[in-house]
Amino acid sequence: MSWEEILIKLFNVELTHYIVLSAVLFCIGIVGLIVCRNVIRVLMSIEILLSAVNINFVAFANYTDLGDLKGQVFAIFIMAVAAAEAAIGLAILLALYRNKPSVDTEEFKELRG
Amino acid sequence: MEMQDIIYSFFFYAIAFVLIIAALGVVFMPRIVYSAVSMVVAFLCVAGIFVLLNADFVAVSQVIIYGVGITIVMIFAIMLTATREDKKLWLAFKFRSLVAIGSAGLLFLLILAAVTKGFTMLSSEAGLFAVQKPSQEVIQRLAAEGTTSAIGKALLTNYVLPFEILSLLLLAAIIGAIVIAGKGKDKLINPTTAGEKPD
Repeated sequence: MSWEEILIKLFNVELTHYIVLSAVLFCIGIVGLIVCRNVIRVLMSIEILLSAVNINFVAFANYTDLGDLKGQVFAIFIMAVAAAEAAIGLAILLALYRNKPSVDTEEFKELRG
Repeated sequence: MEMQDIIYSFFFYAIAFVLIIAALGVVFMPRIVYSAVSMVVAFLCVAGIFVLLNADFVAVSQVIIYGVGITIVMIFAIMLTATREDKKLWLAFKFRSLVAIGSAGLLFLLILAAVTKGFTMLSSEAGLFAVQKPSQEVIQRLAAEGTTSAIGKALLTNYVLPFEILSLLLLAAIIGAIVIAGKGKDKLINPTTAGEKPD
């Protein structure tokens, strides 16, 4: 193949592009999950992770079975679970904050057991 | 290459660029409120990606659930736990950050190598996954009635058991959030004695 064909193949958006995009998002989310010290920012990073997974599901639903839409149904399920997770996580955060007024992950050392 | 494909690719690259910048902003913005705004931008960009992928119902759900619901909950949590020492809380200790960035980069390279067959996919013809173009009648059906009715039928026929379990999960999450975040029983405000002075 010549260089022009390879460039056109790189430019033309297909399933691989979406997978790479969601991989980038997933890695950013993992970095945020480990690096950030603020609990709220850690929860935001988890939402970014779930969005990356959702992009993968919907991309596969589009490119492999557009007639059945199984991937989109699973994306809806993941959204509902993410909403429940955000509500529970922030409730736990508020309960922790009432005992110890801080949102620093380094401060909650008594959670180690 | 047709004009339609070029426009589609252009939209994809524009949305993906803004999405990655916004996702980086969630992690690396110095103040937590800026980070929340950046998160809204990222969620709207994900909805745009869903529109490009023929998923209109999922895109609208993304805007409603993520772009509005989760964002409001996050912003309430930020306001309720407002701390003065915001900048000090920004990043963790240096060694842990280095390890995290290194392992995430390694994971990305691994996924890239797996998806592109060890970086050889560009020079070969066939892709890794069995991509099948949808038939013409499927495209016309989706263009006529959207994906909402197909998803609704799937949710109430094939996936009715997960759907019901999901509703139970949401109910448990609501009750659990109230129980965890609510004050203890002794501090509850009784509406019948709310006007009286506590003794």
